Amino acid sequence: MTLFYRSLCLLCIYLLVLHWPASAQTINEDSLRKVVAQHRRDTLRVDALNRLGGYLLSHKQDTSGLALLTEALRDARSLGYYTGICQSLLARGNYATKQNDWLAAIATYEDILQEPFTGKDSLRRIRAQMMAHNNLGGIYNRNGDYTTALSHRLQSLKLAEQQAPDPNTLVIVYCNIASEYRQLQLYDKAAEYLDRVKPMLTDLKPIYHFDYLYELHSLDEVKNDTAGITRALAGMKTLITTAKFSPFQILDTEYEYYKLEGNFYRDYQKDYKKAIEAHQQSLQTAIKMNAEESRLSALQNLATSYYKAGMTNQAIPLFEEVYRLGVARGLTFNAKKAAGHLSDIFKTNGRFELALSYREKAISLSDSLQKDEKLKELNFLEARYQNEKRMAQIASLERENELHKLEVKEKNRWMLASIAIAILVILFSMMLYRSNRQRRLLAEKDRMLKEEEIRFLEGQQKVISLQSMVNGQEAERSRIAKDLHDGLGGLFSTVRMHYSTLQEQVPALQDLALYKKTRELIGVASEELRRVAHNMMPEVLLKLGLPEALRDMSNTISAGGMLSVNFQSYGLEKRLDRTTEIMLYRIIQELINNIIKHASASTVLIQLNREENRLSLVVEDNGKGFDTAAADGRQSMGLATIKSRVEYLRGQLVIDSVPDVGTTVLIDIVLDNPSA
Amino acid sequence: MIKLIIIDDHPLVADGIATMLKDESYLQIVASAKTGRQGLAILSEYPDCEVILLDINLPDTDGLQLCEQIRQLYPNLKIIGLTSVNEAGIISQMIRRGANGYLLKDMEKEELLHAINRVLDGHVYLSKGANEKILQQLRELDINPHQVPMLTRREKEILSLLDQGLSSQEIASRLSLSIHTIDTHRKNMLQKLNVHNTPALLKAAGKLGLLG
Repeated sequence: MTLFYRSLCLLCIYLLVLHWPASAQTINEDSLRKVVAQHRRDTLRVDALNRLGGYLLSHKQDTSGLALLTEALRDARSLGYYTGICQSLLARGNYATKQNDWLAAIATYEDILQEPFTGKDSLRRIRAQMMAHNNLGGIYNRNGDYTTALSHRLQSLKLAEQQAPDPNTLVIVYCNIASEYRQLQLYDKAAEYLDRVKPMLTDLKPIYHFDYLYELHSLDEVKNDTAGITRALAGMKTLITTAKFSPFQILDTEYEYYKLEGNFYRDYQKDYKKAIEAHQQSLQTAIKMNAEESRLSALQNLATSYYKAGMTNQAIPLFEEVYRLGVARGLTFNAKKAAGHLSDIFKTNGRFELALSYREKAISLSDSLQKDEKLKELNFLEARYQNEKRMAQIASLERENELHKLEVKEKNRWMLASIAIAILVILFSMMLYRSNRQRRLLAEKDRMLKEEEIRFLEGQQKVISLQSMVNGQEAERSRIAKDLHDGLGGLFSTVRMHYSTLQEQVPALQDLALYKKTRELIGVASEELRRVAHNMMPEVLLKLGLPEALRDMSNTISAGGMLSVNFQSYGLEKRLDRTTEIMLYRIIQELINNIIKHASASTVLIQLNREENRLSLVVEDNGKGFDTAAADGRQSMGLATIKSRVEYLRGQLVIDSVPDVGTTVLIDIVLDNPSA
Repeated sequence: MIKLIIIDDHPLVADGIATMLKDESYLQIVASAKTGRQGLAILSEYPDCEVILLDINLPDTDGLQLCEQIRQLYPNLKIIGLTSVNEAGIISQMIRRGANGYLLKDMEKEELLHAINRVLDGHVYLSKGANEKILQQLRELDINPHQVPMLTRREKEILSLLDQGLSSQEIASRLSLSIHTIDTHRKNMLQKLNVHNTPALLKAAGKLGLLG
C-alpha cells in the first residue's frame, strides 16, 4: 500500500515541476482569473487556463477545472500551441489518474505521445513524451503490471537522456525505475539504478534527495537490511531538520519520515514507546496537512503501535475511529485492518460478542475490498482494451489517408496494419491470460483466507454460541420472569385485592356463583403465573445462589412424593459466578428431568463439592440404569444439551450406569477464578 | 390507631392495599415509598409506625438486605414481607433476616388484616399459599447442618475397595472408570469428612459407621 502511495507521490511532484517550474507552491488564483477574463484566445490565456484548471482539480477537488482544461486544449490546438496542448493533457491525465479513471488517463497520456509536433524545439516534445511515459508507467504500476510499467519508465529514461539531463528529472526517473525493479523483485537492478543517483546527490533539490532516500529505504526494507534502513532514516532525519523545503514539502516529508521511523521502532526494534512517539508526531503532521487519507493511515499506525505495546485501552478508540472513518470515506483497506485488530483485541479481552461482530465486519469489508479490486482490475482491462481499439482506429485512419497518397505502398501498409493488429490481438490475449491468471491467484488467495477465517470462527463458534446461549437466553429468561412478576403479577395482585374489597362493600356478591368462580380463577391464574416465572428463572437462584436453589428444588420434588431428592453441598459458602450457577442449575434440572422420565428411581442424591477452583457435581439415582453407549433418541437429546453445557464450563462429564442398580453422573469443573 | 407504611415500587399494588384498608378505622397508612432508600427515610420520619409492608423486590436495593437493616434499626417494628414469588429459599431467608411474616402479593383483604393482627400479637404469619416445602424448609432452619454426610453409592464402593488396600489405579480398572474419576470421588469424600489423606478417611469413615 505504502509503495503505491509513494510512487504516486513521485508522480504528482513530477507534474508539479512541469506546471510550476519556479517556486509556486501556491498560485494566485485571482490574478489568473483576471488573465482568463481579459485575454482572448492567446497562449498567455491558455497557460492561465491550464494553471488554474490544474490547480482547481489537484488542490481544491473542484471539477470546474476540467472545463477550463478543455477550453485550454481547444484554444491551444487552434493556436498550434504544442506546450499548451501537452500541459492541458497532462493536467487532465493527472486528475484522471487520481480518480482511478484509467481509461481517461491512459487515453490522455497516449494523446500526448500521438500529438504531432511541428515546431523546431524538439526538447519540448521530448520532455512532454518523457512525462507521458513516466506517468503511464505509474498507472501500470498502480495496477500491478510492473513489466509494462518498467517498459514505459525505460522509454522515459531514454527520452530524459536525450535532453540535457537535469539531475532532478533524472533522479525521479531513476527512482521510479528502481521502484519497478524492486516490485519485480529484481533487487540488484533496483540497487543499480539507485547507485546512479549517488554522484548527483549534491546537486539535488532536497525533496528529490528525500525521495531517493525513501526509495532506498523501501528497497532496504524488502531486503530486510536493518543497517540500510537505519542509514536511510538517519539521512531523512538530517534532511527534514536542516534542508530547505517548501511549506507543503515540510509537512509531507515530516509525515512520511515519522511514519517510517515509527514503523522501524515498532517492527524492527520492538521499542514501542518510541514507535508511539513517532506515530503521534506523524499524526500531528497529517492533521496539519489536512489530508484525510494520511491522517487515517497515521491513526492506524499509532493504534497498531499501542496495540503492539499492549496498551489496548488506547488502541481501541483509535481503531474504532479508523474503522468508522474508513467505512465512511470508502477507505476500505484501513477499515478492514482496524476491524481485524479490534476483533483480536476483544477476543483476548474475552468480549467475544464484539470480537465476533468485528470479525464479521472485517470479513465483509474484505469481501467488498476484493470486489473493488476486481472491479478496478476490470476497469483497467476495459481501459486497455478501449485504448487499443482506439489506437487501431487511428492506425486504420492513417492507413486510409496513406492509401490516397501513396497507392504504391498499399501492400506494405496493409501488412504493417495487419501486423499491428495481430500484435494488438496477441498483446490483448496475453493480457487477458495474465489477468485471468491473476484473478485465479487472487481467488485462490481469497479462498485460503476465507478458510482460515472459517477455521478461526469454527473454533470460536462453540464457545460463542454457548456464551450467547447463557448470556442471551438466560438473560432473556430472567428478564421475562421479572416482567411477569412486576407487570402481570402486579396487575393480578391488584385485581385480586380490588375483588376482595368489592366483596366487602357489596356483601350480596358473595352469594353469586359466577362471582365466586371468577374470584377463584383469578387466584389460579395468579398461581400459574408464579409457576411459569419460577420455571423461567428461579428468584432464589439469582438472589441466594445455587445451594439454596437446589435445596428448594429438592424440597419441591420430594414434596410431590414420587421421588425423594437429597441435596448436600460442601465448600459452597461463597457464591460462584452467576453464569456458572445458572449453567449448573440447568444441568441438574435436565438430569432430574431425565431421571423422572426414564429411570424409575425412588431416590436421588445431588452433591456439590468445591475446593478452591475444583468443583464437582454428582447426581446419583437408584433407577434402572441405561446403556450409555446406546441411549435412546430422547435421552441422548437431553444428554446432548447437558454435554454442551458441560463443555461450555470446560468440565468433564462421566456417566457411569449399572443396570438395575442406578446411574451416577459426575461432572468435574475447573473454575476460572477461585476467588470469585 | 395503628400506623402503617408500605414500601412497594408497584403503584397499583400500593393502591390496592390502600383501597383494602381504607375502611379499617384502626389502621392508618401514613406513607408509602417506591424505593428502599425512600423507605428508610420515611421510617425515620415516623418513629411511631408499628407495621411495615415490605416488598422484597425493589428497584434500588436487595429486599432481603433491607429487611435485615430495618430489623437492626427498629427492633420492635413488625415487618411483613410482600413477595410475588412463592419460593421456599427466599421466604426462609426473609424470616431468618427478621421479617415477622410474609404475604403473597395477591392476598385478599381478610388475609391482609389477619396477617397484620397476627404479627401485632407477636406471632409469625406465613401466607396461606405457603406450602409443605416452605414449612419443611423453615423447620430445617434450626436443624444442625453438621449432620453425618451421606455417601453416594459410588463413593461407598470406592471406600470399601480402598479399605481393602487397593490403589486408585486398581480401583479404576476394577470399576471400569478412569483414574481421574476415582480421584474426584476420593477427593469429594476427603472434603465431606474433613480429612486430608486416605488413611485418615478410612479412620473417620469407620468411626461414623460408614464402612461395610
